[in-house]
Amino acid sequence: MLFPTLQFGAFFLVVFAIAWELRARPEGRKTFLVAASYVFYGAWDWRFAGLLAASSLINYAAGRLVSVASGDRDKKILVAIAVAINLGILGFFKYYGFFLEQLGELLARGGMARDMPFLEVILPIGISFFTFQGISYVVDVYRKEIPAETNPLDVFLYISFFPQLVAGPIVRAADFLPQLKAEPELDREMVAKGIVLILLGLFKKMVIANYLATLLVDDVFFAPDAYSGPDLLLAVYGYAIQIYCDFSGYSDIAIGVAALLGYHFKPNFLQPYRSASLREFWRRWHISLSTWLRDYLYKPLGGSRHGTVTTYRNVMITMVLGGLWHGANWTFLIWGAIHGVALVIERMILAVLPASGSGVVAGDSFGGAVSAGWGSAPSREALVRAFGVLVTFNVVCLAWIFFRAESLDYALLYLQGLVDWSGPVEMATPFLVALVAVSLAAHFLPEDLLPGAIAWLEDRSALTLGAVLGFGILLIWAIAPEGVAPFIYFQF
Amino acid sequence: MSSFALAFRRKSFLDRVLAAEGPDRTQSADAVPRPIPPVGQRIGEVADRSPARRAALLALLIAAALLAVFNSEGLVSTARDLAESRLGRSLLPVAERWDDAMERVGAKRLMASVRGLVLDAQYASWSDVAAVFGAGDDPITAKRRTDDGPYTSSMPGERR
Repeated sequence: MLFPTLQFGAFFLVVFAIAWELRARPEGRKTFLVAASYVFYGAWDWRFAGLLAASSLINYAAGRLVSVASGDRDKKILVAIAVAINLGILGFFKYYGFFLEQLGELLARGGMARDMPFLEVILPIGISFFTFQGISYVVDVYRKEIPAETNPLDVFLYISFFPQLVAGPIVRAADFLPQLKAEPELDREMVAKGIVLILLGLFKKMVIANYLATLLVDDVFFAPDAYSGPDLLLAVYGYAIQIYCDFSGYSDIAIGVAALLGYHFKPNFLQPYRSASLREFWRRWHISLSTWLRDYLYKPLGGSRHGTVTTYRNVMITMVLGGLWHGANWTFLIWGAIHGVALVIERMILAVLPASGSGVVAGDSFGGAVSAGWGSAPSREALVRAFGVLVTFNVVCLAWIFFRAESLDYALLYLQGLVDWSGPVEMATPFLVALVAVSLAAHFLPEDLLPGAIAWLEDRSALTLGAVLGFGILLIWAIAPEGVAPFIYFQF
Repeated sequence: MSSFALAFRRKSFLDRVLAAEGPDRTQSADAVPRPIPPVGQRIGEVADRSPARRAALLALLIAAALLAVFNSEGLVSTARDLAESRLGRSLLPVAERWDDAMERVGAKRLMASVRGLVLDAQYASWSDVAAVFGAGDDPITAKRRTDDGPYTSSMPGERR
């Protein structure tokens, strides 16, 4: 069941009405929301609902066992087993075929070719997201950030809650579970926030992402050797916008839907392409994943506490595994490696630059805040920041080529084509150029624009809210291309 | 006048009495009668949170009604998607009759006109953009372009 469909609209209307009728019966409400989430998930493939339930049960049991275990060693062993089971499930469904293929090739090269036990493994939708949520729960219990849940319903709802189930954001147990203890409330700010985010998410996905995919990106990435350098450049910029609008659009709708049901989710994207450094980019892009990787991978590896070389190693490991989280493919691994190398280079540059001034304030996903700059004049700072934004955006776009390409060969073909500007320019229509330019420009709008729109709407009547939502959806439906393309992050 | 009087009465008397009495712990929240805000009432005006919930439900229903009226063809395509099921098969003729009715009253024109504008923008060429700023084709070239249809040499649709 996709968000931008009438089926989901009808489903949500029923869920909303019943969930709020059950507000005074917490157990009944949670049971209903779990059932609704399984219906939502089962709409794709009922066979995997069992996997979702098994994952929830394993993590619930692991949380209970960790909380009652006596010694720290026993707790550590239990956490390790729980994490291994979670990663084992993820690994089997997501990486089994890839690793077997690589092993087969390796053996063949060594003259020891074997028939490998290949299986047609279907990837259950959302597995990367709910697995990470399960790990987050068990580790947070071990770290005593949250108590182990005695009520299995809470863990089941945390892992299967339908707004974030299939493509995030990766909600942390410490953020969500306490919300299940209190009677849910809906105030006018949450209603306005829900409506604004749902409309914004639909617009990003249905209009911007779908037009860019169908008119530009899919064609160019399918046959990069058929296009000239300018077209390839426009297409990679277009893909940067498409994936942002596709994924952040889904997150916006998920956060908006959760808000209408009375639950707060943290933002997952904050205008990422306005970042003046890679560190800042990772504080604005897929925040729920970058903070998850920071807290459950980078910091346990030692973070930046054990010297420069170890820090660089930890950054590289985190980013490469972050790339591999997206899928079993060399292109994702290289995507992560490009980000890792760029982050390391950035750290090296910042280490040798004078720390005075504030030319580039680089928020750090994997460590503290850092600032660097050259001089103090405001115009100079603006220039330095603009340069930082330009470099960061183009490094991110370079990595997107590997992320989007069908294979490593296609990515290399794409890079070769980028330097050849001799052919005709076919794709740069006014419509597409405007779509890319306006979408990029929107990253530089004031950050308080959205809260302002929410504040304006929260004072409106029910009639106005309904009219804004209804005519907003109609307008989006009218200007969007026909058909509903699946969200990119469903495949992860 | 009546809604103002009702709001004044609620604010001055009812809320104060309820606040003085405090919540009744012996009853579930469902047993407490909650006022339904009339259409047009601002949500969250009173301390009780139920108006926000009811107003949100009302807003969702209004939005659904607007979609059903102005996007009736969406209902038909959804019913077609569900046509494999028994429910879908019974829904399809209803959705088609509703769509025909909306066609007759002219409700579908709104979506069609917006789509037309977007198509014009989608198929515009750089010379069309230049013409907007007074630097476009001469009238004969412009007419030829119109006669040839909406495609421009830069559209990916031509390659397919």
